[in-house]
Amino acid sequence: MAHDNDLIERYLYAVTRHLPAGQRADVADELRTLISDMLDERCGTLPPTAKDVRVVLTELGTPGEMVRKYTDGEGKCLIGQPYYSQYLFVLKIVLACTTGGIAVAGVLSLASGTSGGVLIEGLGWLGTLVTALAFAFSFVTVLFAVFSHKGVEVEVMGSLDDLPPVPRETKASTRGDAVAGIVFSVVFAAVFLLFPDVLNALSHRGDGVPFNPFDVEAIRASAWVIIAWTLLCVAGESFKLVEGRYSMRLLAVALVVDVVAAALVVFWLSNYQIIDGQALVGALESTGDDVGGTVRWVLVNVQVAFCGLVLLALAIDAIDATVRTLKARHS
Amino acid sequence: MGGGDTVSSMVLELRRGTLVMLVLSQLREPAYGYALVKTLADHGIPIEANTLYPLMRRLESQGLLTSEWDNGGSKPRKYYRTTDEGLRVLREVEDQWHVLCGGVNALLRAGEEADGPAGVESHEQAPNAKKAGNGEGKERNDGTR
Repeated sequence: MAHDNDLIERYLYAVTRHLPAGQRADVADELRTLISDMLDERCGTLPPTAKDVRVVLTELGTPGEMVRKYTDGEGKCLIGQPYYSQYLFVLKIVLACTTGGIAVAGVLSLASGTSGGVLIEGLGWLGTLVTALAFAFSFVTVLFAVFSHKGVEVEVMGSLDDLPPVPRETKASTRGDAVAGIVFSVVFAAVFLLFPDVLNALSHRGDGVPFNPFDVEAIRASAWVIIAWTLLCVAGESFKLVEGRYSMRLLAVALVVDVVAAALVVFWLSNYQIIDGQALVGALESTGDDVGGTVRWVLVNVQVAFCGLVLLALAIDAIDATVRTLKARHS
Repeated sequence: MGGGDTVSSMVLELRRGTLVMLVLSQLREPAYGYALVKTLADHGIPIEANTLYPLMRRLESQGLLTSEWDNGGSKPRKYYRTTDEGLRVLREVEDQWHVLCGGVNALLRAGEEADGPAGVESHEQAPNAKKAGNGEGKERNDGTR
């Protein structure tokens, strides 16, 4: 009998451990009496055997089934609809881009001869791919789990007044823009983070001699900035995808992402010397041509120029998002 | 087999839809979970304990039922009773149930008549739960107890 009691207690524990702490003892007591009643009905005055206990517990349902019924499935799913389909969509893009980016960079690395043996390089590439895919998968999953659980309401359909207008042109949908944004961010990060050597290996001076315009050490040291940038962009674009249309809420998110991205770029390029401007000038002048005023200034200050370019792009993105949102509101 | 499964699943859905109303009505007088399982089964409404117990707990958290432990008997038992709020909800749901039954029965009868005399004959027993394949045989389809 001790064994039978063990089974009942183990069953009750298996059920109640997944319930809120305040309910556990009460549910266990109630189910214990229920099981006792069911055994009484089955066995009458005879003492229940181990088999009787098993039959009754089986009749009651598996612990998992009981837990599902007690919790009614509330909050038990990591990413529920309507987020799930968007999640799958983003996940496919991110995983495909990560694989594509790493594959391209790997091929370039092999072709440019910066690597060691093919086998060692191949194994290293495979390890990098698996790590990157695992990271990408985790990030997108956590992101959408947060969307799903923290009440980022996808459907702005509380009342008839909130119904979104039917898009008059395909551009009104955010899908294409979001996909392009995610693809660009992931590929950029994959190449910069994983294969910075490739950037140097592809660079040759005007006279054909290879040179190293990129400071690989600086890129590696500032990897966290690139990761933060990528995560920020993927999160922003995923929200764009989830929202599905240019709303005021999306505009707010887009502007915040642009401002933070701008801050990251300024921080990155002002604290790390990624590109060697003097080396670029030297590379161009290696053929004997003299590099003139403005071009020379741009090359020497290539980081400042690049930073300005990115800021300009972010500003255009912010203006573009604002215009699209205003157009969507008036259409 | 497929047809049988469809019927069983539809009957289950119908039963599930009426369960809260039945629980609220039966617990006008205090009762514990297993006693209610038995009462419902005796009236041709078999409900599994693992459905009823969580449901009663949920109704309690909604304020429609209240519960009290009785430790005086041979084993401790948790008795549930419908609250005043539960009774108010029950009255409204019952009214809706009678309206629904009236409408559904009228529509079913009209459908049978449209089938013609042969159809009426062959479908005369259709609303009876026995035909619906649950084998209980004692269910009434007019919503009265």
